[in-house]
Amino acid sequence: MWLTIDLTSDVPIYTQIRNGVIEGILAGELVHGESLPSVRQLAGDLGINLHTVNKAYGVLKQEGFIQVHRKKGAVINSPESYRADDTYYARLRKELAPLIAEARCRGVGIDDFLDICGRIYDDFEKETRRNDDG
Amino acid sequence: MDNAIMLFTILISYLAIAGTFALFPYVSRRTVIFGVSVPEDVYRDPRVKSLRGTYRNGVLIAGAVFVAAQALLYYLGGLTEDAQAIWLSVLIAVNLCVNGAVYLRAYNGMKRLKEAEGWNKNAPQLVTVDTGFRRKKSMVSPLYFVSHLVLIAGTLIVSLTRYDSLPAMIPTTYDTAGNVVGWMEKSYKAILIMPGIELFMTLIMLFAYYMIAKSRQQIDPANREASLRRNMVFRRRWSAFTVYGGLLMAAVFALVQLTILGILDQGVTLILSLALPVVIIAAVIALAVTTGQSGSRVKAGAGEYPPAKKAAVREDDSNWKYGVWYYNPDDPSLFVEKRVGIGWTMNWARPLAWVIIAGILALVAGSLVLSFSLGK
Repeated sequence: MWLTIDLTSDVPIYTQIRNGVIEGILAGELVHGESLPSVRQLAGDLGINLHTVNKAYGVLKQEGFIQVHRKKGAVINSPESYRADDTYYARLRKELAPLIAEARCRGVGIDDFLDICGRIYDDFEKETRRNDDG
Repeated sequence: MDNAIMLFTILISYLAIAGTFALFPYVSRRTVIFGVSVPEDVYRDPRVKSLRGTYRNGVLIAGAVFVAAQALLYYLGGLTEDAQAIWLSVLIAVNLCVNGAVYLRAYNGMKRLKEAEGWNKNAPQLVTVDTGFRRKKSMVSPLYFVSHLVLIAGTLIVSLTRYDSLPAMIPTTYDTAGNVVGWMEKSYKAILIMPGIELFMTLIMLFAYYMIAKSRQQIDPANREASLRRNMVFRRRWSAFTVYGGLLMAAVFALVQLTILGILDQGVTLILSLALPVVIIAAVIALAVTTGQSGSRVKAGAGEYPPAKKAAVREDDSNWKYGVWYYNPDDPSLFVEKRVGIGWTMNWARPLAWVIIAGILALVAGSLVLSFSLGK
């Protein structure tokens, strides 16, 4: 999987790594049982601090996307282990709230907002299908 | 040393020093010119072209002066053999220093140009990696090194079985006419020198192989597919060089040992040992020109090269002192690709880099001391 990090971005690097891995799973580029590079390896390839990668893997582990074996390192989990549960729905609601607040504040109606959401869903869908075909 | 060998040594060192230095700007990555990172299209800027020309002429002229000085010293001086060898190394050192100064001028010129033009100033700093890179087999198999070990073991076995039948003095040096000019008293130490050199060469090549294998992947974010393929070709070819180049060197030293043991005629060995550095240098230059740093000169296939987005390359000039020494405490990588010329270097912010270099120096010093203690 390709992982691109923008070092000048406001988004923290560990979040970018986390997002990249999740998008890789969604796109089918990272499948159940596949191992990610070791913390040292990935940090070396990206030329960034070990702690940053460690933190990203920590978050991914906590969210159920990866498992960290003592021997095999970080391995992509089975889809069951990260399927949305009550905790996730609670977090989703919490994270969406400020986005919706700002959107409403700026006069974006619910239809427009849902339309945008729909489009983003479609984009990911297309990418996933493209990867399945190729 | 006789005339032919002396002339040969001078020419080889010219080829090795002036030739490789002159090639640097043409085989480096296009996004790094004289150790300064710039957008890709800057390579063709007329001012940059003229910097390259000045640099190339500088090192070629310095090299020519070096050859002339060597020849003059040799033909007019009437120096002893030891003095010649010392002069040769002194002049090589001076030549390297002059080349360093010529480079530094180009580096400073490039830095000023970048500052004035504001190149890469507000460019995004992207880093791209392929998370499956280590599973892709880009290196030749390390198992090939077993053949080197077999060769060394073979040399050792032959040497030890021949030991009893050797004369009390064994010939070690010949001139081009085939006369013996150097002798050594027979001892186990004396016949272990050549296998020792074979082992040393093999270890150095094995280290180089390891360095290539462990070094960081170098992907151009604006051109990831093509640069990934280039990077893999680059690793494959140079790892093959460590294997076959190492085997070739070990084989020539094995032949030298067979000559010392009186099994092989010295004529063939002499030609082979003179040809060895030529072949190695030629191979290095050929690889450098056809592959380029990071595989930058490898054709990734027609139409494979999409128009690159401008300057998406990571701007880390401040971690590269003079564009040559990499010092980045935040980077856990030990081995990285060089920015000037071809090959790999170490991250000097990692203590292990210093341990490794001290280890190599200790090995070299140790073998020098050993060879002096045995006499010439």
